[in-house]
Amino acid sequence: MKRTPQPTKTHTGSKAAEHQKRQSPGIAVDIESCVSKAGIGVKNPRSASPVMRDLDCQN
Amino acid sequence: MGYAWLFFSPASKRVAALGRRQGEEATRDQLAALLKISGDTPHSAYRKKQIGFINTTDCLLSCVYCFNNGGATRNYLHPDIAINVLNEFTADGDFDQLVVKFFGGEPTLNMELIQKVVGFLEDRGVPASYHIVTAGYVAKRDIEWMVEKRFVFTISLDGDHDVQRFQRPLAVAAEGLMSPEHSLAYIAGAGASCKVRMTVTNVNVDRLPQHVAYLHNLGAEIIHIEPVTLAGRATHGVGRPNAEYFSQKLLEAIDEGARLGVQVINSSYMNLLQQEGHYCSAGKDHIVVGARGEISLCYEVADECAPYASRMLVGQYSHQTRKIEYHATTGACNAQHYLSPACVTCISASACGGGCPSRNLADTGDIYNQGGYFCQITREVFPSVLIRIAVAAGILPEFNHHQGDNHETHAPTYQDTHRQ
Repeated sequence: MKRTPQPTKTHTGSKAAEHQKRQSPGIAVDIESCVSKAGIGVKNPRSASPVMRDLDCQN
Repeated sequence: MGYAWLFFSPASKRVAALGRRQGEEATRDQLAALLKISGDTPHSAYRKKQIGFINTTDCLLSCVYCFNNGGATRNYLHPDIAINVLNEFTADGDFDQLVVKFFGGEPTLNMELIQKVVGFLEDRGVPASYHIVTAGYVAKRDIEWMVEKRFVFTISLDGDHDVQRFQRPLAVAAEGLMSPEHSLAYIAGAGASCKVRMTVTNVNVDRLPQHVAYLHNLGAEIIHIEPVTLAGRATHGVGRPNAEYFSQKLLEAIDEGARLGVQVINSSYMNLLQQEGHYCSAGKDHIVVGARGEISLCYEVADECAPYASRMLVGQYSHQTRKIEYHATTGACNAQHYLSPACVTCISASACGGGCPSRNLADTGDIYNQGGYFCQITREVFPSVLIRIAVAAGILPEFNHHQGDNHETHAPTYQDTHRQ
């Protein structure tokens, strides 16, 4: 039976974290990639949302 | 393994989780490599200018805490003044994007101004984005027009129906206008960019997470929560929740937001990804035009009657020259940065930037002194936000928030930064 080629596995997600854990004393991540999942809204000039891109003051 | 250390780099904007022993034994070089601290400060090539218009001091509401005493006067900014100031402000063309904000009072009471400003900039091909801060009592045709022009909306809504009607009562009949709740639902349904601005007093602080859920049901995906500023009408009447209780409820609201897919903004951490060490852009390629042509650095100081006008009003539009005449002594707002010795070892310092200059003046009388209230909120909330980000990223295990918020912060000291 012909087998469908499987995609090459790369160090992504938790595997990348495991790899990093073996190479260094801890695990680090970019804050920018996790804020929205945490329910956090921050000013971010690179955001796709104009609300976040132009957020400037408490108003 | 239970992690015991969370390291944060304001330079690289990364957090790192380490076990107790690893955290204590990690060398400076190891931490720098882990956090990818290169010593290079990235600068954005994107150049932005901002101009705000106080369309009118008039308002349909009589909010119990309005810092501008909205509706007490009925000054309307003339479109000719706005256009002439715009001409002068944008003459150098030295920007990639012009951010235009309409504020009040209730800015939609002066739709003529909004439409003329948008038309002026469109005719000249100026790359601009438009923001409006509204109470949400707006005619449907006006909302439709602004949605079509891709406006970014901020709707002030403090929570459920009872809270809203108590804190933000109508002063006049709003016949033929959509309610704030309907406006929010319409704008969100149309796919326009919007956030809800929620002001917190002793009246609505207890049920902050429930109010987040209520607003989410109306379509809100971004909610900006701030405690009331003790200025204007707020100096009497509704009280401000104490800092510790507000912080606790804010964190509960963030957790509810994370569950619902809502992003919660608060000034204690909103500059987390910024490096300027400034709270806001006041005084830096940013002016606010008052309803009588006053040139201010801040939306909260819109005319000479404001208690700290001498620090924020930097000029006045002249009907004779049709140009801005700047005062000889300008405001000190652009020098805003953290100066207190206690700030040097504060983990939140880069994001806090010394706090909101206007709130500082209202709270302490000193533009540079944040005072105890907002400083306490920042110190309580900021580390807990970092923990939540690390949990969301999967580098910290799930935790009981009530226990997890019992952290100790430890900003870098000389010994830390020089350990080998």
